[in-house]
Amino acid sequence: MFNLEKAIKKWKKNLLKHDVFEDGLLADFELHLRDAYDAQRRAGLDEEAAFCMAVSQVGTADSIASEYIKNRLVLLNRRSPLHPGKFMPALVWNYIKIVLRNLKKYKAYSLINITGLAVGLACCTLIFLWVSVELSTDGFHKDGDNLYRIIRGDSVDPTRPSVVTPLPLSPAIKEELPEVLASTRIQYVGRRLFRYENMISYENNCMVVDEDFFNMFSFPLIAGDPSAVFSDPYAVVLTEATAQKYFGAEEAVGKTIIVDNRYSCLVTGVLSKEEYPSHIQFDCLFSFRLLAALGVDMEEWQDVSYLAYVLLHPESDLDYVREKISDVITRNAPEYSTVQRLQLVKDIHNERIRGYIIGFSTVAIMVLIVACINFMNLSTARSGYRAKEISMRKVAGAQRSDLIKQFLGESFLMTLIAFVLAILLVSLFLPQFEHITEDRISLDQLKGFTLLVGFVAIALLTGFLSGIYPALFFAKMHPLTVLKGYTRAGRQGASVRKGLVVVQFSLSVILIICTFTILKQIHFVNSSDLGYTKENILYVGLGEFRENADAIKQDLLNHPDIKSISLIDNLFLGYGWGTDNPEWEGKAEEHKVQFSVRTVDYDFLETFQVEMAEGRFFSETFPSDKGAFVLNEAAVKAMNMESPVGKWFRYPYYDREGMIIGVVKDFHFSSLHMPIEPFFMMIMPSEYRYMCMRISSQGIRDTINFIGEKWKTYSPNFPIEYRFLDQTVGQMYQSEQRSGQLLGYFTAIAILISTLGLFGLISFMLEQRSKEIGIRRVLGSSVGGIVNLFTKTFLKLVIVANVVAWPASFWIMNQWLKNYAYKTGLSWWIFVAAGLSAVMVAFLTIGIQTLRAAMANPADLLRYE
Amino acid sequence: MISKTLMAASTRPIILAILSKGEDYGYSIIQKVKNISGGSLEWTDGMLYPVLQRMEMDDLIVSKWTLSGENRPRRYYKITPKGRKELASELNSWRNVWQALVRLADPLLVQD
Repeated sequence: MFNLEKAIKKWKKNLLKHDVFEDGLLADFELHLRDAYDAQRRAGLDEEAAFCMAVSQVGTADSIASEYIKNRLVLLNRRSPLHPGKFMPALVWNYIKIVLRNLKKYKAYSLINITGLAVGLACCTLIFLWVSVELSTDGFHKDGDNLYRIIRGDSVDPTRPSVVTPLPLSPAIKEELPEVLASTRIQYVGRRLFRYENMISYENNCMVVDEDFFNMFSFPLIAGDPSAVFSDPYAVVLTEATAQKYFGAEEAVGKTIIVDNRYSCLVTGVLSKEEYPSHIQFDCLFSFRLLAALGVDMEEWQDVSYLAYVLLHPESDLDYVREKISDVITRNAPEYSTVQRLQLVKDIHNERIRGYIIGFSTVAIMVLIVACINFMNLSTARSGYRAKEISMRKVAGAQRSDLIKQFLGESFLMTLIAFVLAILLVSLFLPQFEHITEDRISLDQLKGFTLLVGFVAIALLTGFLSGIYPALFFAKMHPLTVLKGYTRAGRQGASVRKGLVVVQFSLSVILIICTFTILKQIHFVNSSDLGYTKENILYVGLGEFRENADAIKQDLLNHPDIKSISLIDNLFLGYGWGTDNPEWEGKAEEHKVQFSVRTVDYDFLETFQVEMAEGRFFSETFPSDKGAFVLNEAAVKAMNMESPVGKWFRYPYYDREGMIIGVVKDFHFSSLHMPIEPFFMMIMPSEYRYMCMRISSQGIRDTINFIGEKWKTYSPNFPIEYRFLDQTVGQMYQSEQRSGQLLGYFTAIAILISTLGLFGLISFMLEQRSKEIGIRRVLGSSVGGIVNLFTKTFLKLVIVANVVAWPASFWIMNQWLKNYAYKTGLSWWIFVAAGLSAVMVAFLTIGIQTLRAAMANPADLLRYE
Repeated sequence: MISKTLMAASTRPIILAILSKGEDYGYSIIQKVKNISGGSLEWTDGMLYPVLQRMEMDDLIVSKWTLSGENRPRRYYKITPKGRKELASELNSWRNVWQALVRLADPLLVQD
């Protein structure tokens, strides 16, 4: 018997096989079927036939469903995709909350990251503060863009620069060349004794300048009239510190200072200098008029020992001016070489220390990179922990760009925290840093707009550098892989992380090698045989007491601990005084040799323990030795002279001609930066400026007291000031010592940061693989086997880092050592030691961590609830 | 026999034309089409509903459920202003097509 309701139910069931027929549609069709059925019944069909007719009228389920599917596709295509706003303020709080929550949850990780970044940023800040101070040297001169120093070619080798010019050059060019608006000479006149009432002291940096000095250099005159300071030849201008020393709070201008117990000089001005870093260092200024008044021939073109500075018209053609100045030199002193270039005053200091600026900036950036790498590595290593968060964000509609923004934002926030910490660190360590660099550095400089912008830029760059890789890494992550439950996320990017570890350790190894090499060179300098004995030599400046020198010398020699005394003109600290016009037996017409000239006395050889190569040294037993010469081996070689002893030699400047009586073995009379150059020695008591005493290493204090007492009896008005030669010589290598020290600190910091990073990385790795360790242990692996498994990978990386670092540091240090004529070799052991220390540090870091994990109870590792 | 393509193209304008006279429900629309065309337009009833759904998606018609006189719930469709515009434009198009076709095939029949 046909049952309509059953038939309709069956028919509906058939329709429901297609999921497009939802309830609403199904109702449509059912009603239609019923209408059609009713119509067929009305037409006279029986129930079953009417139903069949109605069903066929409605059509097959498949064809109808396919039409609905088409509609659904149209609808899907037509639905506008979700376009979340570019900036969703509601999410910002969420981002911040996540960062803070992560900081709290992973304390060790956050500590490593932030401290690393803070230390890196602090290093950068310190170095860039120092660089900014160095770069600002001589930057304060009002006409700085047109202020030049004249650089001549050296007389013998014109390609070598020489800063000294003939005495009358500066006034001559000012008179002849309209382009020269002002010009001044500068001559250092050494140490002078100043006396005001009871205050007696030596001033080390006394300088003679022309009146234009005040129009050219912008050291502000805080007392005195700039146009009239030098109207009197016996005038002196003091720096604020010097004036303070003699006059305290009193007005200095108008007071009289007795110089060298001989000249009364009127203080006419006080300059501020402390705040104005300059390559010109002075305590007081005298006028060239004083030299004229003292009888110096101001028109002597042969007197070539003066620095010359010019202020040019802004429109001047430099090449033209240079040629014109050269013309003036050639016209008046044809034998002197011409002007090589005009050097901008503000570039002088920078050119001198460019190497250091580049070197230290590189080191600062290296340390920062090491810190940034920590950030990248630790962030991506932790990705497993954040994979679910990222997937949820993606599923909820976060775009790639949103995730990049979020992670970059996190990194900026961390950098910001690190930057604040860095500023604290900087203010904490600034005094020590100032002490090492001997520069006046202050955080106040940060108030300067450019510098502040620079630091903010560095901080932003750091945030960007350390955040961009993790950000891209996370944004790339596929949400499905994570949500499916199994996460390999932590292992993703492992090869990049390994690469970064290699970079980090390479940088550290490079720093270690550089530090070791610099320290080795300093040691080499300090311990190398200079060819003379510098230890236990005490020296005293003679001042104006040359004539009494012999008497003092004889008296002092009575002391048993004073072994020998020699009077000389110059200490072994530099080239000294030179000449290129001596003549000698067998000299070819065109053959010129640049000699350094040294005046010594008969006891020189004994005092300094210099060895003879040939002939003999000056001796009082031969009266003719007063006109004789002693050369060094380099001179004999440069002169191409065979068997020099007994040949004549002439030094035209003093019109002295005599025999060469001996040749001393080469010794380093100037810095080890320079090769040993030709020099000759002669006896000339009028030139002696120092008394050098070789004393016994026993009872030094008593010896010094004895010397002081004796000195007082001979020169009550000139207080004694003694120094030890080895200390003074050591000061020549101060910059090396300083860089060695600084580099040592930075290297330690870089290693510390790398180690922290490695520590973090290995901790996360061990945590991720703790189950693996547990299973290995259960299956019978030994603790040693597990430690070996984990350390192997990382040690390989550190070894690769060495392979990268060795050639790089070899090249860098080779370049640096080129600065020295006499240098230590690049020893293989430094490279091996650096490599080993990196391996050791890495091994200890990884080993201890792994050991701890391997020794844990496997049951604890495997338990997961 | 009307081709499948022509049938598909004419469905929407015909439904719009029927609804322009007043609201109606599915079964009734089918009946009207059959009666007017004298059986030359053979629609499969079930195919009407996806078309109606699509037209509703396109905002040409709107629908609402009401209880009919026979105490049967029915979904009534009503033309929208947009639907009316569409109808006018369709009529115009069909007229143009028709005129062009006739002019080409049997020019005498055309009386402008």
